[in-house]
Amino acid sequence: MSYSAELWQSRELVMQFALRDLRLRYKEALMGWGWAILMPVLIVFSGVILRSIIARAGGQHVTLETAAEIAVKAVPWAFFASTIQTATQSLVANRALIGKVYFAREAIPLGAVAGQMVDLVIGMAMALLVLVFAGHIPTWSWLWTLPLLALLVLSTTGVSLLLSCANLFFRDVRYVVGVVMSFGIFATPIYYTPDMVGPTGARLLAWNPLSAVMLGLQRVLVQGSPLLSPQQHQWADGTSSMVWTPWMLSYTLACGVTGLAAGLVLFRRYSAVFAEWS
Amino acid sequence: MRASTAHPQVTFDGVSKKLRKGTAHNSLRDLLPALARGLVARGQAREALRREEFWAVRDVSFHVGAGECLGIIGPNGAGKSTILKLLGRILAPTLGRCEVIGRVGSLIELTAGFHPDLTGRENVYLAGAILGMRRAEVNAKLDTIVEFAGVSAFLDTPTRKYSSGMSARLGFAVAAHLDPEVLLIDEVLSVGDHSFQERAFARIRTMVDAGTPVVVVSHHLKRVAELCTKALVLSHGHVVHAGAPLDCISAYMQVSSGDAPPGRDLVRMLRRGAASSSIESGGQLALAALVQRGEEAAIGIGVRIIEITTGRLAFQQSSLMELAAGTGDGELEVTLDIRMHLQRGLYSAQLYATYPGQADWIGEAEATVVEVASPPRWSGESWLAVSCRSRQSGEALQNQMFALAKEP
Repeated sequence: MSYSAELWQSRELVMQFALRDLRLRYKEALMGWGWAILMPVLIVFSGVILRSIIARAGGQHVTLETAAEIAVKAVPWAFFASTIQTATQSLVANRALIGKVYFAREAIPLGAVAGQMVDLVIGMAMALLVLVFAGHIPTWSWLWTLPLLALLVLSTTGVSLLLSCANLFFRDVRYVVGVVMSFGIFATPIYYTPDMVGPTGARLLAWNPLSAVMLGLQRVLVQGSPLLSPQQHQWADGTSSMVWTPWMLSYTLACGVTGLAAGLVLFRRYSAVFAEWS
Repeated sequence: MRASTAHPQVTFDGVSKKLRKGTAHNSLRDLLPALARGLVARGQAREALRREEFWAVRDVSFHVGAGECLGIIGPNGAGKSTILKLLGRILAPTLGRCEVIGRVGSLIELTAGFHPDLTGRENVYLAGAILGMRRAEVNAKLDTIVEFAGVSAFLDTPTRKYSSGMSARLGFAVAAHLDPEVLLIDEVLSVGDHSFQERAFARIRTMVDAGTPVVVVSHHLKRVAELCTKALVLSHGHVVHAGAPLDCISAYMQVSSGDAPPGRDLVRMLRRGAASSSIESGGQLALAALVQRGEEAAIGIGVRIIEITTGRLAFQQSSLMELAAGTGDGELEVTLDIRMHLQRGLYSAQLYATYPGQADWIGEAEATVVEVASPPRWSGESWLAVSCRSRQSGEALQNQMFALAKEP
């Protein structure tokens, strides 16, 4: 049986692993489904505090608008960060199973991603509610959210496959991942936008594949500006440069597809020896 | 995982599997040295063993086709489970070819897919998916599975509250309803209580009779004898014997009896009576051996019969006859005819030699395995009639009858 056919046949297993994770997370847990939005809420809070400190220094005030703006980016970031951390540990967490039964091993990290997608949907719905409360009126261009989130899930999946595999062979990978995730939020435009960090900062930000997703969401949901037209920014010294172009989305797509392909190929190559390492 | 056009079958062709003893490198710190070693070792043949490595399975070949059931027996650590893992695609062979055609059902580690915090129902769906069942398939079979396992009343209870027997029964029920085309069984014939074991065994039996190729690993030798059409004995990864199940069980008894006692060469197997066969209760088993006559002391001839399944000593008698001391006439042929009025079961019978009045064996013949296939014609006591004679003139022919304790 071909590799792709086997993966396709494992879709129900992916769903069952996702269901198991969700049930274990929410069953008999004090907060129940509240856990799904806890992490985004915390990220929004810290963002609002950060922004209000900056705003106060400039003599301005932070509004619900700021909170809403951060929320639509905090939810996708929370998805990315917790999926990567959960998926990284997923193979090690299921090593007893790997040593005893054969199934397409990809189902384990893919199940971890699928489980987190439920949280993403719940969190995103909450963020959109906050946005409406802040006075935004939903438009058709909000539908861009779906392809943007799909791009995010695609990129997350490739990285999840690679890291889950790496962590099985080298158990300290997860600590490295934890540290990278803690600082990664500052290298992604979540609390801020490229026009706040100067021309060099904006150029560096464009290299982060997640930037396009975050900025895209901000454009269609918060600013209401068209996704597919570029935006120039005039800096204080009089020069100007691009802070948004739709090509950034192509870059993210390219990274995502490459990552997923590399993830699937490497994962498959090494999965034959998983049972000996687990 | 659906069957191709070929018939379901299992082929193991010169398979070897190398495993590591410890963990070689499990932290990033070890990555660079490991890579360096990998580069150096690149040209090395796969045959070579590096430090910490050993052959868990070495050059094993067999084929199991339709209607065949292969039993793999051997001491702990012989590589039995590794073979099942190779067949189940959990491990990949280092050398050789391992091919399984058909949808594989593994009755191995039945509860591996269960999570204790999930309910019985949730676990059935999870374990079913792990084994490759579709949701619709599980839906259709859920009632049958639950009924077979006998856990209907606890279907929505977390399995952590199940007894270990209940979990195992549910695990078996899921795996057994997969409708496999090839069946792998590892030591699961001892799950649950007696009545469940009988049902589980009957279910496996049905599959074997329906022509499903089966590979069984078990220490339950009686089950192997009942179920299998052929067997092989494994020791340290090597096949030491292959053939009929009873022959293999007999060979396994030799492997597992460990070091030869001193003076073993005093007794030499001449003829294995009723070699590896099945007799009715009351049927006759003949054992013959050549015994070296003692030069200074007399030698006593004894026989020991062990019920293999339980390891229980069924019968032992050390002084069936005495061979007087003497020189010159070399080996004597001793023949035992034993009428086995025993309960159904699998027995190993062994002729041995002692100095009269002493417990230590000074020699023993190979054990003969015999299956008593029918129950005694009357209920009640088991007994043996042993007639012992030596071919040499001058030795008395002895006929004795022994009653055995009633079976509990």
